[in-house]
Amino acid sequence: MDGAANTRAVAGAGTGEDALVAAMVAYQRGTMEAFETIYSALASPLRGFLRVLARERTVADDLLQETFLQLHRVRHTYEPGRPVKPWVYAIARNVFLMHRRAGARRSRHEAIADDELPEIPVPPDLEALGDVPTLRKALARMPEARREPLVLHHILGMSFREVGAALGISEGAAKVRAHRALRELRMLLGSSG
Amino acid sequence: MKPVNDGQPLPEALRRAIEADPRPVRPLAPPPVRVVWVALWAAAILLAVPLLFGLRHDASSLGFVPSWGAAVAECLVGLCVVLLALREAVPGSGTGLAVRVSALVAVPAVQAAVAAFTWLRLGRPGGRFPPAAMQCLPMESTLALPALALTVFLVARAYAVRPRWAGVLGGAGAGLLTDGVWHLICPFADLGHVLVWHGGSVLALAVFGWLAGSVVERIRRRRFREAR
Repeated sequence: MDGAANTRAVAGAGTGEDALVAAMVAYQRGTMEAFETIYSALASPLRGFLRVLARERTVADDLLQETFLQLHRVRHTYEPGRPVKPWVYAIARNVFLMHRRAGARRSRHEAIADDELPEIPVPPDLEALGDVPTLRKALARMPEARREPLVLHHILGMSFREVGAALGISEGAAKVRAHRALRELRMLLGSSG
Repeated sequence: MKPVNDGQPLPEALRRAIEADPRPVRPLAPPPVRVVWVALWAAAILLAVPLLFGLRHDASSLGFVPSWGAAVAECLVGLCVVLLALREAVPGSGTGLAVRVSALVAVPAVQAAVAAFTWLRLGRPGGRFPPAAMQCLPMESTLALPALALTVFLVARAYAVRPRWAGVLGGAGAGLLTDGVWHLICPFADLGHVLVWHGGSVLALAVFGWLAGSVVERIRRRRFREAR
């Protein structure tokens, strides 16, 4: 397929996972517009995910850029036809882990200021548990292993299968962790309220 | 769920970085296809090594299934473990902890099962401690090097987000499939020899894989730190 055909394929693919898959295939064939489509679709939820992990807005923005650079370097590892999101989120999580390991000594001694709490879109069903600032504070207090599946499934809307693939755990483990996280979140909100 | 296109503009610095390398790339073949290369190597040495070095002297009293059957079974389990390593090397394709741990437990279990079956079949030949014929350890490890190098190459072509896991699975898989071949030519059947020296070879390869993964992770971390 030539460049113009790739562009038409990306533009005409509509929205959703199919559009992302089409964009990834075109991107692997060297179409810049396809990369823009992928960035446009995933930058916002990825930024939210990285803010929840990194807990600092500036760091998360930095990691977002690094994630897309990494994604570009390893774009040949995407297998056409497979879901794009687990592949991208696995890379993003790896970028965060590299950041954390690289600066582990520093972060152990740094407290997190309240104004650096993550800003992520909170869906209405979770908002029912409490107001948005309280919810964000409670999320920030949760252990990372539970926070990740909670955010990926309940906030970013990924299926448990996609969450499991992104985190390198089984679908069942993703379901159990997300369920426990939701229960813990309710307890945290109950104790803080 | 959020709509796919929420109109995030592409930052200029990122655009420039991406445009600096716009070449098309060929996607990696799926892990079950890539593992065929290792399978071909396994098949080649499975046929060539007994031809070159001769079958073990007790092969006829052992029978077809405990000799060739066990060797092929070890090779197949080893290939499955290599397949897991190749899956682990693709972001978003890794398996859960239970599967990875089960695979690592399966490697010595299959090796021990083959050793025990052979030992029982041959009338429980006695051994001594420390077991004789230590040379099996370096010889089997050397025979495993091409399979290990091939596996490491296939893993390195991808991007393992958990390189230590990819490494240890690759090493253990390559070690087990080579042990299947070694089972056909090694004349020692006492349990101590097989468990210590053959098992030691597989363990050494798994440890090598783990260390290789650690080196990859360290290099990545250093590059990441330097780039910021």
